[in-house]
Amino acid sequence: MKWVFTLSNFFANKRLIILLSSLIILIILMGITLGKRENATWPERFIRDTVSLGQNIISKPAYAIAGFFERVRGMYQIYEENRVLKSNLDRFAQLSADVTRLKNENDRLREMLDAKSRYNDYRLHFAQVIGRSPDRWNQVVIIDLGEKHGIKNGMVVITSRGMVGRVQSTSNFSSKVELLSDIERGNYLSAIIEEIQEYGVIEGYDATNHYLIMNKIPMEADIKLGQQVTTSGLGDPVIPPGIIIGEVMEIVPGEYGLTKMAYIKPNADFYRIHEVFVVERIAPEVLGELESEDSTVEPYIEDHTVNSGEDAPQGEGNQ
Amino acid sequence: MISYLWLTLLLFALMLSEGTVLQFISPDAWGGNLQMIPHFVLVGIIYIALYLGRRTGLWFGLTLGLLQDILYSDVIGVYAFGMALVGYFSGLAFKLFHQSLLLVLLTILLSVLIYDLVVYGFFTMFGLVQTGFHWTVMNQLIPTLFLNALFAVLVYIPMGRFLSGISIEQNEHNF
Repeated sequence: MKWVFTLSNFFANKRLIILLSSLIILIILMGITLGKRENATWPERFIRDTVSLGQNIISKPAYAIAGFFERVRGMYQIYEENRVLKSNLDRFAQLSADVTRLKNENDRLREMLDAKSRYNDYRLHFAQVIGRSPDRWNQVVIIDLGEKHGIKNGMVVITSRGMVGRVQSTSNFSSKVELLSDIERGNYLSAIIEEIQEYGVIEGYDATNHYLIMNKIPMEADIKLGQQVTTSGLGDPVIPPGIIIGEVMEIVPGEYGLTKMAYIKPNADFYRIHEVFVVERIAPEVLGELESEDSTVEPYIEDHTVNSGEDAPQGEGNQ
Repeated sequence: MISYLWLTLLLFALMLSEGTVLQFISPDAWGGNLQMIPHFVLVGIIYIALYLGRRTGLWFGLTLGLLQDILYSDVIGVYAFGMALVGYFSGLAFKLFHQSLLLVLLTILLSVLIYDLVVYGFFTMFGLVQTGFHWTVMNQLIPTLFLNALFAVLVYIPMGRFLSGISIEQNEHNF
């Protein structure tokens, strides 16, 4: 075989042609599947469901064993932990009394204002993680609940320490959860800094020091280190407000100098996730969300009056 | 044919364990900054390409890559392309030399490197990954190479026996 590279040889080289055409097919395929897809196609769902059976079989005993060892290790810390927890418990009694008192007060005030009580209640579905993307390009975990259990796209997934991600796609018996550390272009999360009630958008993850990047915070916002960041509940109607994301670690000027940018240290551990909760928001009325969001930020009160004027009769009609 | 079924099952089990029990391997799961990603399925595919020919490697790579795409990735095609490419060309490389541990190790190192670069390249091109190149090479590619080379050496003898068994069986069948 001669290795002289002429044009005729180029076309005679079957291998190269196949390679090039498969590259083209790949790029077309990627282009088609790249956008945000509402539902996975049936072959995908079928394969994911079948594989999730195997993942269940492997991962559950493995995590049980790992959990056992962690418990053995944890026994050494139990005394110290117990002491701390007991002192926390004393404060908890006070705290829960406060919460009840405030809740009652809130109820009473709402009644006086003639506002319907619209708590942003949510229901938690317990789920076990049965798989995780082996590499770090896709920060994805697979949980053992699917559409049959009422899981829908976009639902927030939390651990006991805070938010870890959102459901990206569902099949019948399993769903794929995109972690916060895998925030892609165009897939942002609206967040709020609770203490100062300033909004921002979580739109990136800094893999070098494991911080989330919160952008588009107003320049005049009085951010301080250590302030809590939670979901705002704006934007996606599936996401309830008040789910803890993390705390502010670093504040820098934003990209164009018109806004501030903050590095957020996530509360939850994105690596060792075994048990999670899927948050199902119970606030079907769109009207309710705008109204109960908060009463401190002025533009939203305006929105609420406009909206309630229009939508209130409709809402009552539904009930 | 039966042995091919076993081979598929073996690779499938490897793929499942990569996503479940092997998560603890990578140091960043313990709070470190290095990422050692097990590409054990890929190592298996390279062994298949070395012993059973590049076409077999190509088909195994394509199937398992597609499976990985569907399971873990949002866009379809990157892993399938990467694994098929590596499966085919590692088989090609073997035609040029004789079989030895050193050659196998070199092929595997090079293949894993190429695979990682292909996947990283495509994800970066489509804006799905935002980590810098230098950081990725230092923190991910090099530790990953070490881990997979270690795995390749560990399974060299059992995998070689298993696959040459299939290879001989196949030849007898053909003659």
